[in-house]
Order: sequence, then C-alpha cells, then structure tokens
Amino acid sequence: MLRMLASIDTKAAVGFGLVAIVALCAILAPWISPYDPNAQDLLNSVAPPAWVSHGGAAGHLLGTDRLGQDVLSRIIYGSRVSLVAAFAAVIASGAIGILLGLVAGYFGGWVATSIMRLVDIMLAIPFILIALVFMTVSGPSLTNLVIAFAIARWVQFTRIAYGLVLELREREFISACITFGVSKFDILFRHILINIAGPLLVVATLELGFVILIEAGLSFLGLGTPPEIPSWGGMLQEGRALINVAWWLTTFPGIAIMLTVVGFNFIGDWLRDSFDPRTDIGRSLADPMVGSER
Amino acid sequence: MTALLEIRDLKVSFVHGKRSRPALDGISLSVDRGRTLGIVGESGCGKSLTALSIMQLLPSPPARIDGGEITLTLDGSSRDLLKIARKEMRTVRGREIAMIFQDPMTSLDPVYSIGEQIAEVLMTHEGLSRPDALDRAVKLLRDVGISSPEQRVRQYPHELSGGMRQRAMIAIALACKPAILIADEPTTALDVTIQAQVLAVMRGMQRSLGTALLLITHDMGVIAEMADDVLVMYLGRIVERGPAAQVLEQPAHPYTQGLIASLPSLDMPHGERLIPIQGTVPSLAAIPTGCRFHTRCPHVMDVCRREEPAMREAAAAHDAACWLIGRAP
Repeated sequence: MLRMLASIDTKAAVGFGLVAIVALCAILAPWISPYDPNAQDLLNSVAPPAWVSHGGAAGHLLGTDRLGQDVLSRIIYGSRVSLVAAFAAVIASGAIGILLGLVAGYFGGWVATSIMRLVDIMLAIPFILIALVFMTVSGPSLTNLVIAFAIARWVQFTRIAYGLVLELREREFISACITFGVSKFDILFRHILINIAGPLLVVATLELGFVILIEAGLSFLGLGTPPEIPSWGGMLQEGRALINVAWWLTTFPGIAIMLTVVGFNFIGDWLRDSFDPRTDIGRSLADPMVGSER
Repeated sequence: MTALLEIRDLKVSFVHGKRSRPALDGISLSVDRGRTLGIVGESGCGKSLTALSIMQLLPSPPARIDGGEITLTLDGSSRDLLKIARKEMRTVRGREIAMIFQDPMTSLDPVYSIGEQIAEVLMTHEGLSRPDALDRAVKLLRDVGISSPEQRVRQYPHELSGGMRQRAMIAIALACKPAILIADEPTTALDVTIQAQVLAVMRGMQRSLGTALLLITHDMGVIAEMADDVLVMYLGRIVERGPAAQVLEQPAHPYTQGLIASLPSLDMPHGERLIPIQGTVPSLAAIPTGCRFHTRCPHVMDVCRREEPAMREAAAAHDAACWLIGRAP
C-alpha cells in the first residue's frame, strides 16, 4: 500500500487533488459557501462575477443567476448531489454487477449463459435511453437516479468480473483451495473476489466520472434531481436560456463538471497502471523485490 | 485387510457433443497407509486425471465418469467417493485426502500470507480459532524445514522461493494430517537440488504421520527415490505394475523399458546417445486397436495389432500387459 502511494505521479496527484477539493466542498458546504444557495436576491439578479471590470456584483465571486442566487454557493452545494449520486450509483451497480459476474464466472454452464446473454442485451440498448425512460416514468429524484444507474450500469462490472473470474478459475490455487476442502462461498469471496478487486476498482473509479457526467446530462434535461436541489446539470439547464447575456451561468458549473470527471479519470488511469504488471508501477507492486532493491 | 484407498475399474471419458473418447479405461489401484505408490507415464496418459478423479475435481463437462469405484476405508468403514454427497466430499478433501500440485508459483493465493493460508485449512476442518491456527501454522512450517518460521508465516507467496513455496504447500496439505496425500508432479517445476530437499521433506512427513502417498511423476529418478510400488500408465490404461525396485530393474513392458532407456545416467559412456521411444503418443481420438502401444513398440508382433493383451504375471507381484510375457525369448 505504501509502495502504491509512493508511485503517485503528477497526473495522479492532480486527480486526487481535484477529487479532494470536490469532496471537501461537499462535506463543508454549509461553512464555506458564502451564501445560502437558495437565497434569492432579486435586486442583484443576473449579476456578472465580482471580478468582471464593469458591472461586477460585489460579494458574488462567480456572479448570480436569474433569481439572484449566488453561483459559487450553488456550485459548492451542487458537488453534494454529484458525489452522492456518483458513489451511491457506483456502489449499487457494482454490487449487483460484481455478484453476477462472480456467479457467472465461477459456476459457468447455463447460469453463465443466461447472465451473459442478459449482459449482451443490456449492452445493445443505449444507456441514456434506459436512463431517460426510467427517469421519465419514475420522476426526477436522487433515489430514482441511483436506481436508474444500478439497473443500467451493472453490466460494466459483470463483463469485467466474468472475464477475470474465468481466467482466475484456471489458476492452480483455486483448485488447491478445493482440494483443501475450502467452501465455495469462501473460495468465491475470500479468494476470487479479493484477487480481482484491483481491476474492478479501476472500473468503479472510471464509472464515478461517468455517473457525474450523466447525472449532469439528465439534470440538464430536467430528469435528474428536482430543481429545488442545486445541481451542476440543473444549473446548466437554468443558464441555457440566458447564455447570450450571462456566460457565467453555464461556464462555471460546466468547469466544475469537467474538472471532477477529469479528476476521477486521472485516478482511474493511475489505478489501472498500478494493477498492470506491464508498467513500472505495476511491476513493482506485483513483485515487491523490484521496489525494495532500488 | 482392505486397502486404505482402492480404485476398481475406473472409467472416465471426455464427451464432445455426441462423441466420447475414453481417457481412463479400467484403472485399478490400491494404496496402503504409510506406503508410496508411484504413477508414471508420458503427458496425456491419464496420471493427473486419475488424481483428479479421486478428488472429484474432474472438469465436467467434458469429463464423465462411466464406471468404477473409488473406495476410501478409514477406521474400518468404507465409502465410495464416487457416490457420496458433495458436502461429505468437502470434508474428505483436505482432511482425509490432500493434494499438492506441480507449480508452487500458482498454487498459493497471492493475496494471503502463507500463515493465513495454512490457518484457513485448520479453521475449516479442525474448528481452531484464528490465533491457535496461526500458532499451528508456525509449527507446521518448522516441520517442513522452513527456517525462522515465525517470520515466514507472515510472508506472502511472492516473497518465497520455489522450494519454499512447495514446502509451504506441503505444510498446508498436511495441516490436518490427511490419510492420503496426492502429489501431482510435486518437484517438476523445481531445481534438482531443491527437488531432493522437497522429496526428503515429503518422505519425512510421511514417516511421522503415516500418510499414504500417491506420487504422480514422469521422472523415473523420483520413482526410484520415493516409491514402494509403481504403476505405469499408457493412454488411459495400466500397462505395468509391481514393486518399484523390481519394475525399475527388470521392466517387463516394452513401454517401461523405453521410459527407462530414455533416461540419461552419469555412468553412461561419453558420446553414447539416449534412446528415445519412437513416435508420439497417439491421440485419444485414435486409440490403436489391439495393444495400445503397438504403434511405437520395437517388438511388435501380429497378435499385438489384433488383440489387446491382459495383465499377466511377469514375476511375483509384478504384472504387465504384454504378449511377450511368458513367451520363449
């Protein structure tokens, strides 16, 4: 683990930094945001950022929207929606997907065939379509958003887990476990799952970025979180009408989305390299002798 | 007295669609407490398949057991391993029969320390608590000749050398004092010097625990070193069986003779060539009629091509399936 931390490069550091900033915003939102995100100040509506040379509204660092709500405060609060949605969705879809992948890979036969055909079918339907239909039917809410992701994205985990289990099942230590009388449950969860946890973690990290992006997209379409909860996608939607006169309404939430997604993807890339024995970092992890003798 | 483990007329075939190919054709063997039975043969002759059948680890499909009995007799009560429930089989595995594999690099789980892997078996079968199991693990590592076991117990497989890993495997396999240990090419992946050490460890453990050893190898040297009895297999059949010393010194079957002649030895005159067995092992899809070995046999006769020879006595307790036996030379 320490060796892994030592292998963090610039890109990974940037990734961790960005995600840390977003996480801090989400946790500390009530203390660090300058205004109540829903406080309206109609006298100061559509005010440009404070630092803009002419007409900047003092005290509103990133300007205000049509109702005079502070953009910076709404972005800070919006990070909560993004992170909660992202983690809840990835945990839910990961739990379902990994379990099905393990079962399909380990038991094989008709179980695997039915699960993997279902995966093929799910992969053939565009994800955004499933999400749109589900959100339209069930109504916009954070819970529904997480459910939509869980039912549509589990296939990503299943696909990867299935392949990894197939490969691992042929390894002798799994046969050895069977010959020593270790139970199926223990083999599946104590031996197989732990051995494939690395690559799955990579998938999970990349999925986090994806979920944030899609959550913003759905909110933009009015199908994500309800309007009274500040979210980045919702801000884009509200700012769209005024994009000619108030560029700050769409630019800053957009940057927030971009930086967060980039952050998660950088971490994902680094994790992937770490678990890949063909890279330097991966080699030193797979064979600690490499690192210790240097 | 019944033998500890007795296999009678075991038949296994591989099924592909509607075709089936016999892989084991009437294998019978028995092994007793404290004895070592060596099984020799080229790759693909069914050695490992026999071991996997005993453990009920056959990849199925495609493998299918067509008949036979595998009887384990412990404390006077006999069970046919082919008939008992899966759950019962799990208590047999590890506790009564354990197995070690060829490649110690891949037969240990890379994410757990050696101690944890030994402890897992002890916790599963003997219901030991974790600290007790770890204490026992240290003792077991010392028993298999690993120095400073207190430190080694915390190390991971990649931190150990091949020989160490195979010793650790032996420690795991013998943790619950099984009645039978199946070793499938246990030293093939090791250096020659390490081989000797690992064999010595296995023999020492066998003496102190009274374990029966089923040693699968293609190395006649290992057989000479370890086995009491030996069984030579060719294309899913037993072609020769007898006391190891007798079989090695006076092999009755041309196949066994060929295996021994193809071994290099130190006292061979310089420049002399090794004598390989002609040809290659036929595939299971095209098993020759008559004697299975006739396509490669230097002494082939007409009868060999027509009829399969039965096991005949070549000497006391030494049988071989060859038409030559009993003929005037």
